[in-house]
Amino acid sequence: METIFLILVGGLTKASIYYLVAAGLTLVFGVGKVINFAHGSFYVLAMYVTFSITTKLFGGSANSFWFALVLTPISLGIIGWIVERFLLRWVYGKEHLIQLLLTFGLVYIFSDVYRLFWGVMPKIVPHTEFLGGSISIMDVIVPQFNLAVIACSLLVFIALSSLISNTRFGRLSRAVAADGEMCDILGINTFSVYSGIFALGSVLAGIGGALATQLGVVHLGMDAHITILAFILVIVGGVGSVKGAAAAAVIVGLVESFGALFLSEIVLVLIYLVMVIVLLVRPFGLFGRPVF
Amino acid sequence: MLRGFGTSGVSTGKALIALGVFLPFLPLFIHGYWLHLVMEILVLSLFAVSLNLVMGYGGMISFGHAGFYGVGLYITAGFLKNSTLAFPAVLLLASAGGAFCGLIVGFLSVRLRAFYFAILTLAFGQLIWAIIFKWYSVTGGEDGMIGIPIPPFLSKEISLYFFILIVSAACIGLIYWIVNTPFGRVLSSIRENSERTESIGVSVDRHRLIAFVISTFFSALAGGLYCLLSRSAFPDLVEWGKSGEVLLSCVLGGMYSFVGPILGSMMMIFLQSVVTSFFTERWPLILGGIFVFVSLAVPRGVLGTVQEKLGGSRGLVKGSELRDDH
Repeated sequence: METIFLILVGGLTKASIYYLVAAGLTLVFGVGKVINFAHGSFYVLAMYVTFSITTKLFGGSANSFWFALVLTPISLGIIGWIVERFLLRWVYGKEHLIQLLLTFGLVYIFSDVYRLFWGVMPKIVPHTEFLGGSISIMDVIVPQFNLAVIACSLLVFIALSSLISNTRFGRLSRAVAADGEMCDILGINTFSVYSGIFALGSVLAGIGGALATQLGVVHLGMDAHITILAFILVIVGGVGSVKGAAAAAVIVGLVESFGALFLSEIVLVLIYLVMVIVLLVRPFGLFGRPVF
Repeated sequence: MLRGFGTSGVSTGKALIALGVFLPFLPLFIHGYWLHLVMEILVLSLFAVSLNLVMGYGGMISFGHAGFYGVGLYITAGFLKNSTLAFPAVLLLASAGGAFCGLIVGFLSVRLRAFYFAILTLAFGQLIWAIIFKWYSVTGGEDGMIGIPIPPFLSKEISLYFFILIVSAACIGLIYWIVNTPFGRVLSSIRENSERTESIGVSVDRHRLIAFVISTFFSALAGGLYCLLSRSAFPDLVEWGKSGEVLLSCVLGGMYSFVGPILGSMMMIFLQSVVTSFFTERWPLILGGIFVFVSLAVPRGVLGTVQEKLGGSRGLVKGSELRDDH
């Protein structure tokens, strides 16, 4: 029974990180209609940036992580804004192939940037002392940080949902997602909406990456895995749906965790299977509407 | 959005014949490293042409083709190393293995729209990579397989060259023939407007699946040939990086012509050897840069852009500003 609870917590922790990555991607798709293969690369970049902030800027002190948690998403937001403004903007409305080619190229570039700036050895981010220990819930020892991640993710979920439904930016984004051309005609500055959404997506990836540094090692080769996973989540959840991203993240997180217990080697296959089944049954994802 | 096919006035057939006449005499002029490079170009050309069957002709963008290439490579490596099966049979088995994987992946993917297809092929390509990477006992995992014995009749460089030349030329010729059959025409029609093609009674999914399986068969064959060249097998030849390389070879040369991928392969290998001589480590950075450059400036590739400049009103390629609705 305790094991089940632990796995549940582990699964939800993973789900939280996945949600952050997927939400960013699904927003960029839904609003900007742009396929960003490099989204996973932003996530990995966030991990490396967190590493540098904690070790170089703060000398590896134990609670520097929390500063990184604030600084990293901001830097990612800036980087994302730059990428959107100077590269992605040229391929809006073009064939998907061209967008895929461009962002695929970015994945290559980023993968070498990691090597260039951080070398090939895996990096370990200093563990936080605050919330670094364990807490006992119902006689089960659970790492505090995992709970913190879940809580953080919930907060983001709530914040994102209210951003989308209650703020002006949210309304504009929904409008642009529904019919970008019409928005242009109506005089809305769609380009700034695109930039904003892309920056937001990058920020979310930044938060996810920063949190993830406390849960494992940062190494090369993570980008492909997380990118594919992010796309699977977006597809399963439905393009453009933040709720869908959350649902998909929970499903995949739990499948991964419980799957690892019983069928560890084929967990990956399981997840792909989930995706294929969802696509066959609901071609637009669980909560999605026809976008592509 | 009509995409014309052709090579800007020069008939594809003539281009292929010219190559076919010229290449057998190459060993008179070059040896060693350069001949090896040409052999790499031949193998990559086969790989790229087979991919282009799916991409340029079929209109489906596949990001995972290195998976099938890898299947061919590893099956060949495994059998050459661990069994005494006759070499032609090994190659055939490897290609069949690739085609079988292609059947499974294709069956699950071709019915979906372009974007989902792209993601799915990427995912499956990575899945194949993951299996190869983790299955240490069979594939050697991260260490790969080295010291693969080549059949004795290929031990001389010149015999290897002619073998690869003949096999790849024959396969490319075969694909060329396929593309010009009614099947190939229907495929192009599906690429142009799948709904309309479906409405005249063509089973779009079945055609796409068949094209996909044929493509993976030849991609795996290319992988098997590469095994002869490298005498080794490593998982990074199966990863998304390799998928991107072959994809770029198609796009760089010009996706919408038959010989485009061949030209692209030449450029790719050439670029790769130049870069690895001077900037040994930065190939991914430069490759990514080329991707970005091509997508922004020459999405139609070299031949496509030439075609645009010269072709004019031959009902050819319209600008990429037109949205493509799959």
